[in-house]
Amino acid sequence: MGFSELSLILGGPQGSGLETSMLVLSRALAYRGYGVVADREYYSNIVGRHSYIHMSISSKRTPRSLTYPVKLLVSMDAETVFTHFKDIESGGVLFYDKDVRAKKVTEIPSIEESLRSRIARDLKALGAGEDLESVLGVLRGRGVTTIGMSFQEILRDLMKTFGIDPRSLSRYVSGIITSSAALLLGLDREALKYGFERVFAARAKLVEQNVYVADSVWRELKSYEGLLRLDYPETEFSEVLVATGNDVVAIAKIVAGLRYQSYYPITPAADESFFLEKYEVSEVDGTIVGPIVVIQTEDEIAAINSAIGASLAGVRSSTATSGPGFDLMVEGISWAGMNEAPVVITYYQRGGPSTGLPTRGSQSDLLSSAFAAHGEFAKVVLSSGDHLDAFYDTVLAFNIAEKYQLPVIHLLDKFLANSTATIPLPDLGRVRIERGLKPVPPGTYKRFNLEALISPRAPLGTPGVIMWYTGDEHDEFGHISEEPENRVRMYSKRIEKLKLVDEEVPGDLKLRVYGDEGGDFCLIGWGSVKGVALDAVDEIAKRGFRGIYVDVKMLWPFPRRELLEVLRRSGFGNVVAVEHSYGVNIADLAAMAAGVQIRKRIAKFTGRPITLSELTQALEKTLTSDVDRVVISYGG
Amino acid sequence: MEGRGVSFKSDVWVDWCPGCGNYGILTAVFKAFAELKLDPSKTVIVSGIGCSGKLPHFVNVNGVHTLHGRAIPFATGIKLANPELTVVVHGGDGDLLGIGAGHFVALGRRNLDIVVILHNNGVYGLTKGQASPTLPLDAKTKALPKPNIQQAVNPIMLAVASGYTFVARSYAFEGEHLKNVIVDAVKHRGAAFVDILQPCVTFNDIFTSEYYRKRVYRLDKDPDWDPVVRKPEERISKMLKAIEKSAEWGERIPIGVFYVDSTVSTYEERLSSRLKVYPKVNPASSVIASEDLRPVVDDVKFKKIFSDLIVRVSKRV
Amino acid sequence: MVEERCGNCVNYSPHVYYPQVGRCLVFSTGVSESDSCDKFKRASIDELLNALGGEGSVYCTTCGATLVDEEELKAHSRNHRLAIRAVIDEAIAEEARAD
Ligand SMILES: Cc1ncc(C[n+]2csc(CCOP(=O)(O)OP(=O)(O)O)c2C)c(N)n1
Ligand code: SF4
Ligand SMILES: [Mg+2]
Ligand SMILES: [Zn+2]
Repeated sequence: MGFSELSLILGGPQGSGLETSMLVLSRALAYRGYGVVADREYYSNIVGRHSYIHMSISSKRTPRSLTYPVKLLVSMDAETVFTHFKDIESGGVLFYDKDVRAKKVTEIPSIEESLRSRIARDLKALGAGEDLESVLGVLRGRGVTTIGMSFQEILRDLMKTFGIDPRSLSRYVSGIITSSAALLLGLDREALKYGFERVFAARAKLVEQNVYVADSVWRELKSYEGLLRLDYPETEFSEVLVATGNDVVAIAKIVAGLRYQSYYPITPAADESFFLEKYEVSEVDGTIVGPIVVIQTEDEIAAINSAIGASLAGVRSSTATSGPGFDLMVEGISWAGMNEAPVVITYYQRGGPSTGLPTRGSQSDLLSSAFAAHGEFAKVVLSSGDHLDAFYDTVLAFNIAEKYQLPVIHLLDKFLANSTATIPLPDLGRVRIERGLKPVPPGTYKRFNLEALISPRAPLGTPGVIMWYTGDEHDEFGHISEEPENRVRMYSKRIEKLKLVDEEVPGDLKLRVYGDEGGDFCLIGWGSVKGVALDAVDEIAKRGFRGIYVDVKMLWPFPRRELLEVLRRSGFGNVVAVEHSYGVNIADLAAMAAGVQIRKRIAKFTGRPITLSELTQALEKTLTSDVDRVVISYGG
Repeated sequence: MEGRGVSFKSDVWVDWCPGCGNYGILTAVFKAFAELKLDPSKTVIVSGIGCSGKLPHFVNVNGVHTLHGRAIPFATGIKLANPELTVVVHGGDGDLLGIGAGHFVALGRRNLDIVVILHNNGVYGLTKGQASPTLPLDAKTKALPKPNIQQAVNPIMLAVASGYTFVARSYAFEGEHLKNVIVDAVKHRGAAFVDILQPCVTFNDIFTSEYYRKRVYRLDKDPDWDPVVRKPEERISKMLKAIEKSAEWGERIPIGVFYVDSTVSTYEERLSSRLKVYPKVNPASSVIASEDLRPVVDDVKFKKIFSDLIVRVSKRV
Repeated sequence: MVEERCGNCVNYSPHVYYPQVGRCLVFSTGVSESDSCDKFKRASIDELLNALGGEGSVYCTTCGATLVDEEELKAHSRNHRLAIRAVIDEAIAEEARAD
C-alpha cells in the first residue's frame, strides 16, 4: 500500500531550475496516470530569492487543493530547508544537498530579516543550533527521513564527463531534484526520461545528460526507492493537458476565435500573451487557424483602446492584465460600454494596493472590477474556479461580449495563472461560438437602432455601410446628441441589456452548487477558492458537518435569484464566505445585490493560497463558535 | 456607397466657432477624399476629444470619436484588424501631444499605415483656452491669466524623431496646399503625420490667421528642397535637414513636406513576415466558426495544435 | 599559506547558486572548487583591486553581493571569499518571473 494523495515542496533560489523540475515531474507523473496540481510561489526578483513549488499528487484524480504538512521536501539549498522544515510531517522525507550542511541561517543573505529572526527563534525554542546540521537533527527526532547527496560531486562529474558549461548547471541540479523526487515516489526511470524528453524536446544532449544524472541518483539512493510510493493510478485519463492557467486561457482564446490581443507586460498576465504569440497562426489539415495579431502596446491605455478598435472592425479581441494595468484601462471600458463594443479583459489579480505583492495572488479586486468606470452601463464580470472552468468561461466571455455587445471582465488570479495542473482535454463538441451577428437591415444603417435592446452590429468596413461611434451621448446613427428624450432611451438601453444577460445566461453558468443541500452550512466563494473549498467541505464532513459549496461564477450581474433559491432551500443560517482578501467582499456584494447578510467570513491576504488544512480548521471554528471572522495566513 | 452620391459632407450641423481653422481642415478633407475616390465604407476617421475631435461626425465615412488622447490606439486596433481600411486620425495638440504623446511616439516606431492629422491651435479649445503643448514659453493668449511657463514641443521634430515616414505641415486656410498634403499623406505607405496650423478665433489671439498669412511660405517653392529619402544611407542627413527646417519659426514659417522615407518597412510588412498569411488573411477576413457555430478548432485540430502540452497516459502494466 | 586549489584562485568564477562549482576564467571550463592546476594564482587583495579597476566590480561569494568600491572590497576581503565575477545561470533568464 502506498499513498493515494501526497503533497510535496520543491524549493530553491529563483531561476535555479525549479520551473524545469516542475515541468519534468508533472509530465512524468501525468504520463503514468497521476493527477497533479502545482502552485508556483516566488518573489518579485530576478536572481537569488527563495522560490518554491507546492505540489499535490493523487492517484485518483487531479487534486483540487494544496495542503500542509507535506510528505516530502526537496531542497536545492539551505534556505529552502530553513524556510520549510516545519512543514514536513513526521514520517516524511527531506532531500538536501550535503555540501551545505554547515550553513547557518544567519549566513544566508537572501532571507528577509524578519523571517530569519523568526527561524532563529524557532530553532532556539527547539534547543537546536543555527546550522543546517542541527535542523536535520530536529527533523530526524520527529521521524523525518533525511536524505543527502553531494550536488558538487554530481556536477563535477558532469563537468568532467560531458564538459558542460557552468552557466547551465541549473539544468542538472533540476535533474538531481526531479530524479530524487521520482525515485522516492516510486516512479520508474522510463517515466522520468519521458519527462525529460517532453521538456527538453529537441535538445537531445540535455536529455542524455539528465538521464545520466538520474542514473547517478538511482545508484546512490537505491535503498530509498519507493519510500513514498504512490498507489497504482486509478484515474481514467487517457490523454491530459499539462498546462498553467495562463496557458489554458490562451488556448481557449484560440478556440474561441480570438483575432486581436493587446497587452502591456505585467505579472501574472504576460505569459498568456506570450503563449498566444507562439500560436498566433497555425495551419492544420489545410485549415488556417488565425491569424491573431498580438501586439505589445506602449501602455495599458493603448492596450484596451486598440482592442476596442479591433472589436469595431468586427474581430474578437481582448487584452490581459493585472490590477495596476486594469486601473489604467478603466476609461476605455467606459467607452466600450457607451459604444456597445464587445471586448474581453482577462484580469489576473495579484496582491495590491499599488504594486503590493506583485508576484503573489489575491482576490481583492472584486469590487473594483464590478464597479469600475464612470457612468452607468452594462458590463459583465465572470470568474473561474479552476483550469477547466477557465477554458469554458473564456469562450463564454467572448460569447457574452458579442451577443450583448458589452465589455466582459474575466476575473482570474495569480494562483490560477501560475499553477500547473493535469487537465482533462476540453470537450470541443460542447463549445459554440455565438457572435450575435444579425443581418444588417436594408436602408440607412443605424448602429444604435433603438428598436431592440441589442442593435444589429456591422463591422467597420462592411461594404455599403457607414456608421459613427462616439463616447458622447449619441443618436441611433452614432452622432452626438444631448436631447433628453433620446438620452433617456439610449442610456436605459445600455443598462437594460444587463437584464437580458441575467435572464438568458443559464443558471448553471452563473452559480454552481456542489454537495447535497439541506446540510449544516453553506460555504460561498468564487474563483480560485473553489478547489480548496470543495476539499474542505469533504474534509469537514468527516468531522460530522455536512454542507455545500456555492461557486459564484458570474459576479456581475450578480446571480441574485439563483443565490436566494439556494439559500432558501438550505436555510439562511450558517452561511460562510471565503476569499483571498481582507474584506471577503463577495459577502458585501451579495448583501448589496441579493439582500442577504453573510456574517461569517474567512479571509486570507498574505498573497499565498489558502490551503486545505487551514480552511478546514477555520470553517470548523466558524461553525462551532460564535466567531464571525477568521483570518488565516499559513505558508512561506 | 448607395444613395449619398459623391459628397463626403454629412447631415450633421457643424458647430465650430465661426472663423475657426477647423472649417478649412474639414473642407480640405472633403476635397482630398473626393480626389482619392475613397470608398466611405472602407474609410475610417478616428478622432480624439476636443473641438477637433468632432470632425468625423461631419464627414460621410465611418467615424470613431474616441477618448481624449487615445485616437491612435483605437486606430491601431482598427487598422491591424482590417488592413484593407484607410484610417485617418484627427486630434488636437493637447490630445495628440499632451495626454496622448506616448501613443504618438509609439505609432512612429511602428510605422503602421495610418495618417495622423494634428489640429494645431496652441490651446485647449474645448476646455476654454488653456495652454496646449505647442504654445511657446512666455506666450500669453487671452484666456490665460498669466504667461505660459512651459515650453512648446516641436511637432515636426517629434514626428521625425519618432519614426514617422511622411512628415508635413500645412496651414488650415491654404486650402489647395492642405488638400494636396492630405492626399499625399493618405497615399503614403506607413505612418504619415500632418501638422496643420489652425487658428482658434476664440482663444488664441496670438496665432491668428493674420499672423500666419503673413508668415507661411511653401517649401516646394525652393527647387533645392528635397525631403525624400531614396536610399537608407540618406536617412540621417535628410532627417537632420527636416529637423533643422522645422526649427524655423517666427518671421517665416515653412509649410510643405519635411520628410519622406519609403525605405522603412511598415508594421504590416513586419507582421506579415511573422504571420505569413497576413495581410491577405487577416483578423477581419478570417473565419472563426462554422455555420453551425462550431469553432474552427475541433478535437482533432486541437490535439495537433497543442500537442506540446498534451501527455498521452501510459500506465505501467 | 592558502591551499592551491581552484576555490582559492583568482580565476575561479563561482556559480551564483552552487559556488562549490564554477568556471575557470583561464581555461573557460567548468571546475569544482576542490580541483587544482599549475596556473593557480591566489585571489590576493591586489589581484582583486586590479580586477575592480578593470571590471568595475567584484563579487563576494559569501554575501552574494556585488562590490563596487575599494573600501567595500577591503572590508569584505577580511573574512569573506571574493571572486572577480559570478556565473549567472542561463535558466535565470528563462525562468525569471518578477513584477
Ligand atoms: C481624460 C480626460 N481629461 C480631460 C478631458 C477634458 N478635455 C476635453 S478636450 C480637452 C483639450 C482639448 O484640447 P486639444 O486636444 O488641443 O483640442 P482642441 O479642442 O484644441 O481641438 C480636454 C483637456 C477629457 N475629455 N478627458
Ligand atoms: S474654440 Fe477655437 S478651436 Fe474650438 S471651435 Fe472655437 S475657434 Fe475652433
Ligand atoms: Mg488644441
Ligand atoms: Zn562579503
